[in-house]
Amino acid sequence: MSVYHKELLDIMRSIAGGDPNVEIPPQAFVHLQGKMLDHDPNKSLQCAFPVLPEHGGLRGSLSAGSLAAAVENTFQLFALLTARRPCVTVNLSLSHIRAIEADAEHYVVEARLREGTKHVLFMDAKVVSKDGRTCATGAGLLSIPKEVK
Amino acid sequence: MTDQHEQLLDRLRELFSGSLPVSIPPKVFEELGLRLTKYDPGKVLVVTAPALEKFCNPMGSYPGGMLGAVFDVASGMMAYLVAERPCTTAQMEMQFMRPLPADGKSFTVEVRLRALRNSMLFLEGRALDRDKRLIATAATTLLVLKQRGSTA
Repeated sequence: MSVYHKELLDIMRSIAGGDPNVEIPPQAFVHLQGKMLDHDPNKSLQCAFPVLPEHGGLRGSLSAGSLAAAVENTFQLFALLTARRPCVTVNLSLSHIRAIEADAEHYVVEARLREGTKHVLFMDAKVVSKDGRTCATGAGLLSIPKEVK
Repeated sequence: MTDQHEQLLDRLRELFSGSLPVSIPPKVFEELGLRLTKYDPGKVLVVTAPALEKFCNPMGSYPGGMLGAVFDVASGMMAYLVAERPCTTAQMEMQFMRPLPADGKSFTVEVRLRALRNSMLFLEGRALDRDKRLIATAATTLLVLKQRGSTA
C-alpha cells in the first residue's frame, strides 16, 4: 500500500513540475492521514483514511463534515492525476447512509470519474467502512483551470 | 455582535446532560477552531473559524471539504438547539464561489433554518470571508432522532 502511495505522490510531484505554489501531498491530506490505495488512470482513485478521535461529531462517531473533507481531498488528488494540474472544487454533495463509528479504525473513499471535458470533471464517490458497508455516497464537480504557459 | 459561545455551549450541555453520549462541543469543533458568535433562536446560528494553514489544499487555499466540515458542525449544533434532540446529517450539498486563502484569518459561517418537517430539518448556510464576500453556500438536511440521546 505504502509503495503505491509513494509512487502516486511521485507522479503528482512530476505533474506539479516543481511549482512552489502546488504542495504535494496537500497539507489537508497529510492532516487527515490519508493514503492512496489504488489508481486506475482516468477511471478511479481509492484512498484510505483513519478514523481520528479529533474528527468526532456530536454523537462521537465520525462527523459528516470530516467525511466531506476526505471525499473532497480524494476528488482533488484524482483531479490532479486526471487533468494533470490542480483543479478547483465547484460543487460537492454527500448523502450519509450510516455512521462510521469512532472505533472503526479506517474507511475507504473511492472516487470515480463519471465524465470529463476540457474544462470540468464530474466525479462520484463511495465511502466504504472497514467491513465493506457503504456509509456515504458523494458527487463533485471540479473545474480545470486554464494552463498557464 | 455579542459572542454567545459559552452561553450556547452551556445551553447544549443543559439539553443533553444525562443522555446517551453527546460530546459538547464535538471534538471536530475544537479541531476546526470554531466559535459560536450569535444565535437567533430557531432562525440563525453564526460561527467563526480561522482558515488554518494546516488544512490547506495544493494551491494554498482552505479546502472545500474543510468548509464542508465547518458547515456540518454549524448545522449540527443549530439542529440540536432547534430540535432539542440529537440529529444526524442525511444530506449536504455545497457550492464554492471563490477560494479562501489558508492564512489563519477568520471567516464566518451562517446557518439558517428553512423548515422543520416530519423529523427532517432543512438548513441553508453561507460562508463569508473577512470582507463579507460570499465564499460558499450549503444546503443541509438533518434527521431528528426519535429519543433524546438515542443513536441512529
